[in-house]
Amino acid sequence: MGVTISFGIQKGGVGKTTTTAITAYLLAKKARVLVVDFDSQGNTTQFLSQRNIYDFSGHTVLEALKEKNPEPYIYPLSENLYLLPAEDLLATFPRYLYENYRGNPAQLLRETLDPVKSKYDFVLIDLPPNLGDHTINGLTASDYAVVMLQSEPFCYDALDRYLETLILIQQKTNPNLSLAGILTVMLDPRPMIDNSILEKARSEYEDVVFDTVIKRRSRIKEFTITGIQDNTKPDREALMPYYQFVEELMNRVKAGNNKPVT
Amino acid sequence: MSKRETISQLLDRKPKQILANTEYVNTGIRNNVNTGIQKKKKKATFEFDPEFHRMLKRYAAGKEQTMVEIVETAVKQYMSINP
Repeated sequence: MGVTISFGIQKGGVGKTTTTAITAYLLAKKARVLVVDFDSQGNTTQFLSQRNIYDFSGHTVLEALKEKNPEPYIYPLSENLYLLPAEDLLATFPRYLYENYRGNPAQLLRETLDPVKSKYDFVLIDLPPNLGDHTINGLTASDYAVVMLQSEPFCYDALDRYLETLILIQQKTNPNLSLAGILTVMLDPRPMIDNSILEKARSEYEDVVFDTVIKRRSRIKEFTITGIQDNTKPDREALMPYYQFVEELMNRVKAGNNKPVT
Repeated sequence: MSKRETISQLLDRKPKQILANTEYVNTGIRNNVNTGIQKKKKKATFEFDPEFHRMLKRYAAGKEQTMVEIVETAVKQYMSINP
């Protein structure tokens, strides 16, 4: 219960939000899911709620952290899908940590979420594109980390550093943290460089890299405007790789390690 | 060692440890540690009203701090409240 999975890497625009949101949507077909938007851009909030993020001002994850009580700020999106939203002011979280908070600054999100985790089968955390206090808190609160790898050189360079960060978090703040795997996203099969990055990742990290590769599709981009839908054939074709990813992720999480179930 | 081996500690799922909630208590005791490292300082000259200068000097003496320490703390606090 309350298996907590964060989606992150310090590079922006690689598909963290999209993957978090669609994974939550698909998991919620059979399980109770809480999504924590921990990026002050609020894109996950906008994507899943289909509302302006400022509709939630004063009632976001920031308030939940300050009160160490998320319950008043969790919004039901559907029968099984719940959201702890974010907007711009989440950017002031580090200031709150170091000026006002008296506890361990790495543990606040974990301590805030712990009392409610048992009410959900899964808690998914969308992390921001940096290695600062939000990410440290998010990883410290997580059981598993999914690392996003966009098939382009800057993101590949960021990968090693993010994995080092996971190791540091495991050593210093969260011994329970495990790596669920590396998910390659936004692969454009035409340029050689995209495929060569995928090959390099598989060669270096072997079965840690998910078999699923998320390819660039315009229908996915449309979902950010229309909301996630699976009514039509184009919808289902766009969602198919995410279905496959969720199946792989569940196998790894249920197995209790990142090794694929044979 | 392969890259996969370098991250092997992230891959094996151990029995979950229950992490206790921690609370740090500010004892109010300040410990200054002389690390032997001298931070480079930038000179800044401010002219104060003589009455204010006397007030600041008396205040700093009462707190056993230098006038610079008082001013630095006050300005940092002001800037944090008024970003």
